Amino acid sequence: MTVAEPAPKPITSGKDPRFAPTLYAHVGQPGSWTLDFYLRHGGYQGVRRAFALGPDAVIEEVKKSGLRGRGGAGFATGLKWSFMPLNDGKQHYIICNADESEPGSFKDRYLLSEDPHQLIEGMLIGGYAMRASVGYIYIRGEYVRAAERVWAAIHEARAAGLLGQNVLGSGFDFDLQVHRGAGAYICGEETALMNSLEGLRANPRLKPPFPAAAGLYGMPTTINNVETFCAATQILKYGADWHARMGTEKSRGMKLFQISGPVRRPGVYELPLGTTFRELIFEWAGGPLEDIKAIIPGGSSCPMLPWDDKTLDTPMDYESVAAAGSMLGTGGVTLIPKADCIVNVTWNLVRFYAHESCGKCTPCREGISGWMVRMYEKLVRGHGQPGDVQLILDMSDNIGGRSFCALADACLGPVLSSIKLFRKEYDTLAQTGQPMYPARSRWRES
Amino acid sequence: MKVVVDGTQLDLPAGTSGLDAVFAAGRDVPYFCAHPYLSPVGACRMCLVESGSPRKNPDGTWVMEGDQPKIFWFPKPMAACTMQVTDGMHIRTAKTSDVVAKTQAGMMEFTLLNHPLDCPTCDKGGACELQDRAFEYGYGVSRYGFDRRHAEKHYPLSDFVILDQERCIHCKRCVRYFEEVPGQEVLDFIERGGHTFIDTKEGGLPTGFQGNITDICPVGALLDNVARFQGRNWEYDHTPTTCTLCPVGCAITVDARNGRLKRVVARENREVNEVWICDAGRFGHVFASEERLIRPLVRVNGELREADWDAAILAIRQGLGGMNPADLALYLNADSTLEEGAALEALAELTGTPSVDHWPRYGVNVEPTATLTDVATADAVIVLGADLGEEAPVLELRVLEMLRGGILPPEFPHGTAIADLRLVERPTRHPERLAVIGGESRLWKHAGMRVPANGQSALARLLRPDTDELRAAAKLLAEAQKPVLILGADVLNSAAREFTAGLADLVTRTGAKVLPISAGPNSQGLAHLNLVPRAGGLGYDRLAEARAAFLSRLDPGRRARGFTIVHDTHLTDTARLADVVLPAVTGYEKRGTTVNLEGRLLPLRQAALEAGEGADLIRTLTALAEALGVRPRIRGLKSAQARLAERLGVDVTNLPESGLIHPLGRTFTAPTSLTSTPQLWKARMHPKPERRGSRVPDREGRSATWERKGQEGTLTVGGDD
Repeated sequence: MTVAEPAPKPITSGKDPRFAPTLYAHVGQPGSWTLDFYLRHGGYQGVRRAFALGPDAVIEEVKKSGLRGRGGAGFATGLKWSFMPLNDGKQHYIICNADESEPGSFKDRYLLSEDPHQLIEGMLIGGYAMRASVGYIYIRGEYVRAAERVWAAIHEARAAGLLGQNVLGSGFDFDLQVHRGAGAYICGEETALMNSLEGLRANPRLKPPFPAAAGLYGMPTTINNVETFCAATQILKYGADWHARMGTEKSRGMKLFQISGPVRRPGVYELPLGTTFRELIFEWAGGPLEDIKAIIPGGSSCPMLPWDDKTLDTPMDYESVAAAGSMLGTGGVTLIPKADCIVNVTWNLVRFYAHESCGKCTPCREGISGWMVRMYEKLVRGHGQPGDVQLILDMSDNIGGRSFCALADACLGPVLSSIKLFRKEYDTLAQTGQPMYPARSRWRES
Repeated sequence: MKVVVDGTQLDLPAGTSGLDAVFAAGRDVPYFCAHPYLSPVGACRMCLVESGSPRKNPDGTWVMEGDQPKIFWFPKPMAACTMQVTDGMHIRTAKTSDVVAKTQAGMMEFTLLNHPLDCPTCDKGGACELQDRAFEYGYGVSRYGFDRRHAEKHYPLSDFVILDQERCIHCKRCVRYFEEVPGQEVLDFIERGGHTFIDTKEGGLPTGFQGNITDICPVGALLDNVARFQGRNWEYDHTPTTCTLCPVGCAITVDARNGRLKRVVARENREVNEVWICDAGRFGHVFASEERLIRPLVRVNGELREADWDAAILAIRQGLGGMNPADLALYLNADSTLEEGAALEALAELTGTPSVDHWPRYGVNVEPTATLTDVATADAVIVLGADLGEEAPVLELRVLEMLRGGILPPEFPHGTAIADLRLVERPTRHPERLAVIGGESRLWKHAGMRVPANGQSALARLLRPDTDELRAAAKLLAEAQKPVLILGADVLNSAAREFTAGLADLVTRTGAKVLPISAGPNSQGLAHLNLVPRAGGLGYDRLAEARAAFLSRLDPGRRARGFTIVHDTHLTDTARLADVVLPAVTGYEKRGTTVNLEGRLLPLRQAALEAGEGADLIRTLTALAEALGVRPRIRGLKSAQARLAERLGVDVTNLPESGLIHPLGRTFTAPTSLTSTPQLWKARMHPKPERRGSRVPDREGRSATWERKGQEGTLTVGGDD
């Protein structure tokens, strides 16, 4: 009789010797975006394995890996892929959402510009699994270099027989198109993105029907984040078990975390899910440069968390961050300095959402874009009145969960959390017209 | 499906929207963006309600709470217009839920945030959905302490529709209307967020059906420029009636003020026009209130002079002096009512004149068997020799409805379903189901098969297809389950017996239903009365040979050989040639019955318009009979209706609102050498209907034409030049 070996401890720290970066392994190396470089570093092995497994087994593999969507919502990727109808005779599409516009998120940018073949391989795998013969990469308009590199990579891949008819002799036809956005945050919403791709006004569509039933041009469509497709490449390359060993019980794998604000080394860090905020901020990013009062854990739409030991020891996985009262989102951590007026900081974010509201539904168009942003401006300019904070809360109550898509709720993330955490700052400003922390120069002497 | 709304249990068909469930329960929920004939979009967020559904255990049994299935309430309110009810669903409206009441009041506050609240100067005031809902569901005060959005208040989208961008609440009904109903992508939102506004591309709105957006706009943002500033909604006399400008017979409401026709708006008739009417019907009414003939005219010393009816009757008696009454030819326009036709038929019998005719009509009579609903739900439509824009515009909309699947919204006790979830934005169209054979028309760009043809050749070419497109059309017709053939003026004019035979053969082979477009608004009805020349009589085409003639509302531009009496609403070219001119009334001022192209009897009601001494044909014929010295049986509406009951076996005194399709018995027809070219659009929209002295700003909204005390000029308002 053999005694079953105890399951190895999951990897939940970037310092674990068993962990090595894969998604960002090539970023920063000279010529990393070329096909030649990619092939020399084990490129297109994942898709070869996918072809050997067969499409259904690929979906099973992704399910087994525990991969969850890296665009923010964290929906199980394998499950999402399995929603696509199998043999309905229709044209299927897959779309890569590279419209990375959330303030605080900048991970996809370097995947696109430094390692585009990783994404192409991931989309090949996804297209093969979901029986799609056409894929679109919707790149944020401002990412000029990224779009150029992706286009160049697609041309290289086509010339090498990695895209087009009968990819690598597998009998699978697949081609990719790049579409550049024109600068709208709403295009990151999947149905608005599809409208934009079709040449229509980027308003979110009614769901149901969901994209897997009727998406782009009314055909079954699945849309995934850049990082999700890249993770699929790594999963097929190294195996589902390798991926599942990282992270926590329900949040498995590695994740690209971004950190911005006053830290010594802001940037993108690839770490296993379940790494603590403390490790990211102090070990990897070198620690804050000044006193901090709050952090935004996952991109600007996620509610702020207070800067304390409880927050810092929270593991960065979907469940733990949700339990702490926020969301992991895209993993874009932003530090908010103590010396900045929180109302001003929030106004900055509200301005962004007010500017990006698409105008389709009333609570967002009038509530966020018309009213909320002016209330903040009024407070910050020192014209506040005693009831203003209460009015913002009541207005938020009429907006939250009432809008057509999640954009209005996204704006309420920083609004409600900042009022909850720093009500005293709000009240002081509303009553006296003077902020507790006066405005200072945005430029820091380094 | 069992659905519970505010505790009331209902049994609703699957697919019903939450909005209709609430109304079916006799409850109310405010909504702006939903519209019965447009796709639900869920944009205005006014109809948010609380809802919850029971759930099943893994073993298939309901999760119970006591002896009832436990209701799992959704964590946030759902838009009722886009929510499909499910079996066992519970819905709470503002009546029973404080959350919903607060949500709706809050949403109303947002909706009104940038609305100018200029109700006292707004044409929509008193008939405004926003106004009503704000009273019913709003807070009553706004907490918004900032300046409202300021935008263009007099922005003409076209000559007929003017946009007030400040009043717009972005419900998107107008945008969806153009995309879904006439299939024109001309209007859309520009900019985003709080700056969103609707606008069209340069060149305005396409003519045809643009006026409908003024009906569906829930606020006073889109207004009928012909009726703008003409009156308040409570000042108008509203008369629900039927449009008699073309054979479709759309349901309309005529709004009159101080005896003048100010506005025509669409009314719902699910069977005929749904809720849409054409621009000619909506804006082309100006003729009814301008330059009307209000007193009889008698020719004295070669000149037409105003007279009273007694003098006119005397002049007729003298003019016809000693003539056999049988020599007086009687002609009437085919927009006359059935009752008027019956009166003329009776008079003709009495005088024994063989020269009787109605115009316009065609030489053949093809029995109609298709209804407009058949057209909308057909799987193939072939249009032969018709220009629907001139002949029957709303029929074009029903053909376009067929192209997008022919989905007719279901009916509930509260009326047509308000949110039909089967309707989708940007519906898939099926141009392959439409073939157009004939002259080029607006329908061409929607058709999968287009074959140019002239006159009779259209049918001949379809019967003997010699090109790929014709073969495709013939194949479409042969393979369709519910095909409809629409026949227009080009094939029906000068149609002969062989045409009818060829058509009958085609119909037998393919099982197609036929919808011939009548020549005139009531040709279909008048054809069942003996209003064609009898043996030895002179048809309308031989008017010039008549020894004497009476013409009702006909304008051939020439007179009879002898004494000519013209009965018309305006001093037409023919009236100028007449010996006696009698003032008539328009279709807006008549009571009676008209029959549309599908054979549907529709009621006409009399709008409160000032018509001077104008009289309808029945009263005029009574006067004429007096002049002729005969005593007719029909001397009023009641006796005409009694005769109709006798002649056609139909009681027209109590027609249902949507009209009645009733077999009217044999039809009378006779060959004619004239051809009829329906010109609804050209007749009503040229010159452009415009009220004199009304302010019509240019597209920059700066200059305005004005007219006062005989002066004319252009006033520049706030221009930067």
